Amino acid sequence: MISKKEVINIAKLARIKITGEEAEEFQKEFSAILDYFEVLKKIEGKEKKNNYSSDGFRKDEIEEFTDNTLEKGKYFKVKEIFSNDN
Amino acid sequence: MTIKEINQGIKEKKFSVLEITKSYLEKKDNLNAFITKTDELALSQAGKEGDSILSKIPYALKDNLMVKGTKTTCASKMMKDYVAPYNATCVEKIKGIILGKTNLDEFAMGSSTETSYFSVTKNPHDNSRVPGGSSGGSAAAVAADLVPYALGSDTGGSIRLPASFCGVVGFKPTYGTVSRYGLVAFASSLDQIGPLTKTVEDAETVFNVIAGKDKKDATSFKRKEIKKNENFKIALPKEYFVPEMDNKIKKLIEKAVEGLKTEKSSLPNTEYALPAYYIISTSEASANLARFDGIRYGFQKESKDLLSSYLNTRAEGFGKEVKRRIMLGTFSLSSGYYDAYYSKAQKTRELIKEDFEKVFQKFDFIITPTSPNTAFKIGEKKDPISMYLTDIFTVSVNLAGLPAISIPVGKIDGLPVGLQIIGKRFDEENLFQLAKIIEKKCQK
Repeated sequence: MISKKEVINIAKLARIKITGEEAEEFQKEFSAILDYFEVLKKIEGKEKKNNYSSDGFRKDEIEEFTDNTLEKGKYFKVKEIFSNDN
Repeated sequence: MTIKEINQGIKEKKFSVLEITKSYLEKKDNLNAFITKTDELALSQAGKEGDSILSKIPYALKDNLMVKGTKTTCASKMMKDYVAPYNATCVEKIKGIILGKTNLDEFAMGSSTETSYFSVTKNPHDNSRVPGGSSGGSAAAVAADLVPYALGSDTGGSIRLPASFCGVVGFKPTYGTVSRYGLVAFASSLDQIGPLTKTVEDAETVFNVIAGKDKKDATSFKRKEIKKNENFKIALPKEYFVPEMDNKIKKLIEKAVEGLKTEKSSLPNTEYALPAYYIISTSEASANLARFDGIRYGFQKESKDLLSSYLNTRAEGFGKEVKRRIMLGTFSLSSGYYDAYYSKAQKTRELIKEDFEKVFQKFDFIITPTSPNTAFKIGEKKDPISMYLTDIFTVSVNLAGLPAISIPVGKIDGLPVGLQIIGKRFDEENLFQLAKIIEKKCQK
C-alpha cells in the first residue's frame, strides 16, 4: 500500500504536476502494481552493479541546434529561477 | 512485396526504383499505421544511385528513430513538433527510401499502440483489435504491405509482440549488435533496434546491414562469430506452456516444431521476470525522460517560473502511461525503497541470465509462444497490470540481452499466432537458419 501523500511526493520528485483526483487514481494503481512486485521479496542473490559492457568510448562532439529548441545564439533562454516575491 | 522480390524485379527491369516507390506512396493508410508520411523525401531518395542490398527498397521507421529534417514525435504531445537534427546510425547504414514514420505507444511504453498521442493503430486482420505494441504501426504497415519492411525497437517485446499479433516476422537482435544512436532512449540497458519483415530471409538481410560496432554508441559491439550448426537441439520451457494459456496456441506451436529435436526444459525464475522488468525499465525511463523539461526539446507550457514550467510542461506534455512509468521508476529508485525494489530487480536479472545460461549448456535454442494470447480488442485491457502481463513471454529475453525472433505459425479464428525462438548471445546466424526451417514447414 502506498499513501496519497507518498504519491504526491513522488510526483514532485519526478517534476510532474498532478491534481488531487489524479493522486487518488495513481494511489490505487500503484498499490496494485506494488502488490504485484511483492513476489520479488523471495529473491536472494547478488546485484551486479553494472549491466552495461563496452568496448570503447568516444569524445563528445558539438552538434548543431535546430530551430525547435529555444536557442538564442549559443545559449538557451530559460525561465527565471529566483523571483522577487520569493 | 519482399525485399528479395523488389531487388529481383528491379534487376529484371520489371519496374524501376521510382515506380516501386510511387506504388507504395499511392497506398492508402486506413490503419493509422503512420504518424508522418515523407513522400518528398522518398521521391528524392528514389532518384539517387545506390548499390547496397537495401538502397532501392522503400521502408518505414518507428517514430522514435531519428531521420534528419523529419519529425520524430515518439507519439507524444511532448515531441509532436520536434524535428530530428541528425540521422540514426541505422538510417545512415541502410541508405534506403524512407516512406514515413510509424505509430507507436507513447515513448514506446505499451503493448498495444493505444497510448499514442496520435490515436491507436488498427490490426489489419481485424480492425476492432490492437496491432500489439509498442512498434504497432511498423507491424501493421508491413502486414498490410504499406511498406516492404520497417524498423522497430524492442525494450520488453515491442518488436516481437506486434509481429506476432499482425502475422509478420519480428527480430530483436543481441543487445549491443545494433547501434542505438538516434533511437530515443526508453530503458538503455534493454533497448534494441530491429526489423519487422515479411520473411525470415528479409529480417536477416536487414539485420546484416544495420548490425556492427558504432563509435557513437559505447554499448555497441563488433559481432562475434559463432560456429555454424545444423542439428539443433531445442528446449521447450515448461513455464511458457502454462495451463491457463489458450490450448489452440499451444497446439500450433507444437505442430510447428514437430519433427525437430525438442525436449522439455525449465527456466525456473520466469515468474520473477515481469516484475523485475517493470522495475528496471521504469527506473531507467525515469532518468532518460528527465531531459524532457520543456527547455531542450519540444513542447513547453508557459509558466511564471522555472519550477512551475517543469511541472506544467511535463503534466501536459506526457500522457498517462508515461507519467505512471516515470513515477513508478522514481519511486523504485527513491531513498528508502531502493533496496526493496530496484536492487531486488537487479538481483533477479542475474538469476534470469543464469537460467538461460544453464539451458544453453545443453540446448542450442529455446522455443516458446511469443504471447499467451492473440490480438485483443481495442480498449479491452483497462488496468495497467493486465496490460503489463501481455509481455510475459518476451521480457526475459531483454533482461538477458539475448537475440529472439517471432515468426507467424498459423491463425486462430483469423488472428495470427507467433512462435518465438530465443538464441545464445551473438548466435543470430544459426537462429535465422532454424527460423527458416520452421517458416518453411508452416507454409506447407
